[in-house]
Amino acid sequence: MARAANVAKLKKALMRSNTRLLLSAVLLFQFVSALLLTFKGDTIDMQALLFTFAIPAVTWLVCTQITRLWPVDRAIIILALLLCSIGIISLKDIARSPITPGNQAKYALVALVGMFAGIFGIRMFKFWKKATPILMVICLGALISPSLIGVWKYGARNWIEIGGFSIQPSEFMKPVFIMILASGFANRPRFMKTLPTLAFAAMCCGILLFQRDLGALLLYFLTTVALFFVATSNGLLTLSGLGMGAAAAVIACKALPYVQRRVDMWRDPWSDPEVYGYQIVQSLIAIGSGGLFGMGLGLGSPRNIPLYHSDFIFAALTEEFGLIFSVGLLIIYVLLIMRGVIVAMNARTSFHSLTAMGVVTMIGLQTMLIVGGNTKLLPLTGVTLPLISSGGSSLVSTFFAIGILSGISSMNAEDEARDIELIEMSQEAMM
Amino acid sequence: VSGGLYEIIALAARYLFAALMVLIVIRAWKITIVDARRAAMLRRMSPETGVCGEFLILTGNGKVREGMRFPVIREGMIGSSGKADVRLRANGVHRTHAYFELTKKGLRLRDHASARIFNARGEAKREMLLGDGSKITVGSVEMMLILTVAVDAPAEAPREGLFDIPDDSPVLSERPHRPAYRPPETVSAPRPAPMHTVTRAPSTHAPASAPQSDIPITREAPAQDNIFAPRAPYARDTEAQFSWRETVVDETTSRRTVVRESSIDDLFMERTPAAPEKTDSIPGWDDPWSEPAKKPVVRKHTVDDPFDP
Repeated sequence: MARAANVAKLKKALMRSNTRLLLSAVLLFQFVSALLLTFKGDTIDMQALLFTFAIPAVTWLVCTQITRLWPVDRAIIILALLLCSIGIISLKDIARSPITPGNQAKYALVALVGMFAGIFGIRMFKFWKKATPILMVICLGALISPSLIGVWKYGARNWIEIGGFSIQPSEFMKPVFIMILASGFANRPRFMKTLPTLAFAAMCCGILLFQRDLGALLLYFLTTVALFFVATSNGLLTLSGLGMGAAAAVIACKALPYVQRRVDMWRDPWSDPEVYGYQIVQSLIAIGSGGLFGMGLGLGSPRNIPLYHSDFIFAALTEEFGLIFSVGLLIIYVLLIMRGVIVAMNARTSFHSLTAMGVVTMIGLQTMLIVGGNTKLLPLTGVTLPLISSGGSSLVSTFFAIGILSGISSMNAEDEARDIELIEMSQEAMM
Repeated sequence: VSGGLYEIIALAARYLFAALMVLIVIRAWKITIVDARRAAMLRRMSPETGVCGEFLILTGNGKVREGMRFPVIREGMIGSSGKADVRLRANGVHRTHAYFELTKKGLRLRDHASARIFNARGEAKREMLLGDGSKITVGSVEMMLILTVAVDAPAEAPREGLFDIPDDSPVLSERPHRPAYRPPETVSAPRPAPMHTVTRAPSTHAPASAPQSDIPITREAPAQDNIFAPRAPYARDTEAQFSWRETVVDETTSRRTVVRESSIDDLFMERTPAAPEKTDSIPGWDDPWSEPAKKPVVRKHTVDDPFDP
């Protein structure tokens, strides 16, 4: 029956592609690269040997078991784990101390727990409108806490220290901020009803400006503008918001000397290659010296770049793995964003749709800002390369956001399966 | 491993890493493109996915006519603009009139700006919680909500008689295209009775003990005809699916005799004279979805009715 055949087509449409080859390639990369680092020194590196078996094992375990719990989009998980493993392996290679990759691996385990919590949370989170005011208070309290008890790091007061751990609240609050925006913009409200949410976003941006956390400020602002446009389709107001942001950036550039200096170094880093332009100059030299295939894992000299493990890890990766690998890395981010957009388009409620869109917007903007900063395409801002850069706050927060995205994809799959079941039932009733 | 040997291995391995990255990118790209196409196909083939019920127009106005049905998704907007999920092009309906959202308690409805919604008692409300059978008035349009999902709000209208009509099942059927609704110009739909008084239409099925004579089987038009006569905007291309032939089988010759060719519209429109009798043997009932090479099943006094259970 033609109609029955259409149901079969629908069922086929619901099936996701086979990811076995993708997973196998990722596992092979993890195994070979970690094994190579095991024999880098004169003696066998036990930490690298542990990574050789542990990273592929954890990747395989997570990818195979997570779909038994929920019908999540497995490709998103595989790509996220690949990026995370690239981060751990490159840190193992370039970091001066074995503590850094060890800590990163521990953070990755915590982040995986966070990802599971994200999936579980978004599936259970039914009363999001009632919870929004509470989330707002938590978000504002967390963002303002570095101003009260925080410490200065790299020119910004955006860290707090609790029990020997340094935490960056602006990183942790990113998923919460996205959910608050999605809740406020959901169900296509008119402009007046979005004002409380926009005021909240403005307060967050003001706090971040006060703490001189320009990278996070830019991310929060652009995510707000992007989500507002997605939710309301109001191009005029969105352009007005962008114009106000651009005007504020120009004023900040004129008024704040350190912003002016960054812009100057972006325009001509070679004017002061020893002091202020040192980072960008070393980054460009590293990217150029890598060539198409790189210097080889463990053979480059990325430690010449300041902050090679966090802000400039993309330049370090390009030096060691080459341009082909780096371009592939950027394409993986693009694919992650594309899959996230598909999840957002298939979501059944505007809250979930906007949340998924916010997650991919935040990841995409963050990648664009830091890669643009590394390659002198944009002025340098202090944000991390998602899932790769060293740092627990960013890793846990990003994996939690990936968990939210995966949770929404699993809800979409369940809803679609239920609809197809209803179609089948109605057809059977007609027979 | 000595420094020289490691260098050779690392230099060779970089090509492997580049090749693996290319493989990963190509595979992930292919998967993403295929999945994106599948998702688009799913949305195209089942545009009603996510439907939780429908609004049945009780009193229409303008281009919104009595009996029209509008699918209700889980959240959306009622208005007269093209962006509206429930588009009511009638007097008094604002471009953005009200927002609705399915909750566990029912369909929550809230108005927009100066637009007003009225409940069954005619009271203006800014926010309402609708259950199955709840009636509201938006502008000059009175309509009733029919929910197909379970909610906590008690049903306000009897379910029987609403879902036993033949045209209800296509709500969840696959329809590949969504052509624009063209109301029949020549047929004027009578004003429907209030839905809570609608009773089940008389059975259109031939009784099992029908006489085996040459008396043709007749169908009575439903008492409450024309409630669902205008085609719902999303019930498309159903003429071909819902036409059938009534046949009588002669026991001695095992031949089928067509006594009437009917369509779904005949149930609700003015009864036309019965089609002339045909004596051709019928290879199968005239269902365009059926497979052509199907052997006919000989049954006594069979009515090939697609709605016959």
